[in-house]
Amino acid sequence: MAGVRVGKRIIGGDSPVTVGWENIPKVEGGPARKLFFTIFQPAALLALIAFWYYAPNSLATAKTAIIIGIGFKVLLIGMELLYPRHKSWQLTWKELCSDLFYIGLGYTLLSMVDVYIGSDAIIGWVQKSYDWDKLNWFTTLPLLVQALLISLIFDFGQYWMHRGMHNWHPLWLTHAPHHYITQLNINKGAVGNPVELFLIGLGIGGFFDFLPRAALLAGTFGLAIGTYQHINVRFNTPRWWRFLFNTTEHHSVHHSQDYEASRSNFGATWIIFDRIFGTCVDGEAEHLGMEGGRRMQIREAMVYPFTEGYATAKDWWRQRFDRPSAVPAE
Amino acid sequence: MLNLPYIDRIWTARGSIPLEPPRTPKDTFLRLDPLLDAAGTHVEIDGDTLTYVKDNPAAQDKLATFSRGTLRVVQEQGNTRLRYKLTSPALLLVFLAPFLFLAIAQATVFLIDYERHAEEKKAAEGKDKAKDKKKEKEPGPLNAIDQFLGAPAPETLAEKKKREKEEGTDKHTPKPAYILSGIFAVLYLFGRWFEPFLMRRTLRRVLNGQSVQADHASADRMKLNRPN
Repeated sequence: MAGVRVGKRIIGGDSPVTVGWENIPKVEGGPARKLFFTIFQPAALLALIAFWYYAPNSLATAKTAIIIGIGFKVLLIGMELLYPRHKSWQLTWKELCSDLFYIGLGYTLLSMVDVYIGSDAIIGWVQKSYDWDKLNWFTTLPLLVQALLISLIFDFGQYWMHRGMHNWHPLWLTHAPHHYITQLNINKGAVGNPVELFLIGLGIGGFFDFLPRAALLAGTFGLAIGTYQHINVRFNTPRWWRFLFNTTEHHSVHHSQDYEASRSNFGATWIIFDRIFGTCVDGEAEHLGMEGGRRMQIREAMVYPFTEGYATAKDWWRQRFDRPSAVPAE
Repeated sequence: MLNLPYIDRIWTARGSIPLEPPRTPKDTFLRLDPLLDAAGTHVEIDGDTLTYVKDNPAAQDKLATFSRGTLRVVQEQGNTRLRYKLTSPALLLVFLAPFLFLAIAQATVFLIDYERHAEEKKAAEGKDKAKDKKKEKEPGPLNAIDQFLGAPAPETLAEKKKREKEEGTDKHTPKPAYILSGIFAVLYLFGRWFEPFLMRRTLRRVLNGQSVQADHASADRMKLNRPN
């Protein structure tokens, strides 16, 4: 496979990757369908921002955010079932159950652990030990500017955490199970080893939760933009959107079976950090996963960092300290 | 899988499909090739009986849910039928998932109790956290642009205290675990009906030749995603 040169790298040498927006197919069908899939993303983003901007204090709560988040995802699952981008990514009953199991772990065991050692604990500790009055000027900025800054700061942290996972073996061991997904669906962001989900939570979490409405607005960027990373629906995404934000096209390149392509597009909500740091590849891929598309089962995903970590450590030890005890006879 | 009559209905689908026109077992099993010709699939044919086991099937494999099965060509009242008994570890796991989340909910309830006792003990010893807390101030006014655009003012301390009182002070809640338990129960009931229905439809199409070509094509697509 020849691949395409992007900067100093050859993308698509191991597995097919379409590079360049001009080569990516558009939504097919009648004018109404085309219009719907062109305006849906910006319209949903605008509507959600308007809601959080104007909602009365009694409604602008974390509880409402969870309800809206679940409702929005159910709507997107419906769109995946009706208008799948690739038939080979079609959501099946078994995939849905498997994805929901990982989501379930996130909402229960992981959030329980988070209270003691995760972002909740870190936020509490930082708020207690730092004089936040020095940052009061932040709360005087317009709400949307605050939200934008929170979102960008979180995403910057997440970009480097994610890039670190692809470049440092101990972190990669936690992230690898997520790269065994063979198709993209709305809930696939939750699929992975709990240790990775915990670490990514640290990346997303931050210290600015003292601004409730701005934080909720920032969360909306994650919901109404970041969620599309894993969606199996084709949109005619506007040019400005795909320049600024991560899309399912970008993220499919990141999950490609092609090794070089998988080392691109590390951002979560924003793609601009990839553009700034030279890791962005505009394109899309259909064949996803690792080891030629082997599906990793839940029980393997749960223990992978430990079993692989043990195997790696054993190999390292053997290479460094073990010497052959006997020379085989010729 | 264990052979447990009655209980095995949880993870087993049984049924039969008429073969039209009547076919020999060899001819019948040949038609199942698009479903069974995939990496990680082990097939054994013994006369009129075919047994298969799929080791970690791909997501789009049409037999992904029923990864083991026995298919037998039988003659009944002058008709040829394919009798099948398919087993699904996935159905069993989804059946068990509600119990797992109920257990997590129960563990959360215990943890909440434990935390409450610990807080009460601390309060009794005079180590109340509230004393360490800095005095909260009323929030400042919104930026002039937000005021002009009509955004609601931030909640006052009194409103915040009222909300926190309504929400409670517990760090944990068993609610998500109870909801997930319910979701998995519904998913199991749906899957127990829907997956055998899909399986039966697939077998019918493949065996009675309605779209063998299409299924061959989808099997080729599946192979692209498989390890050698």
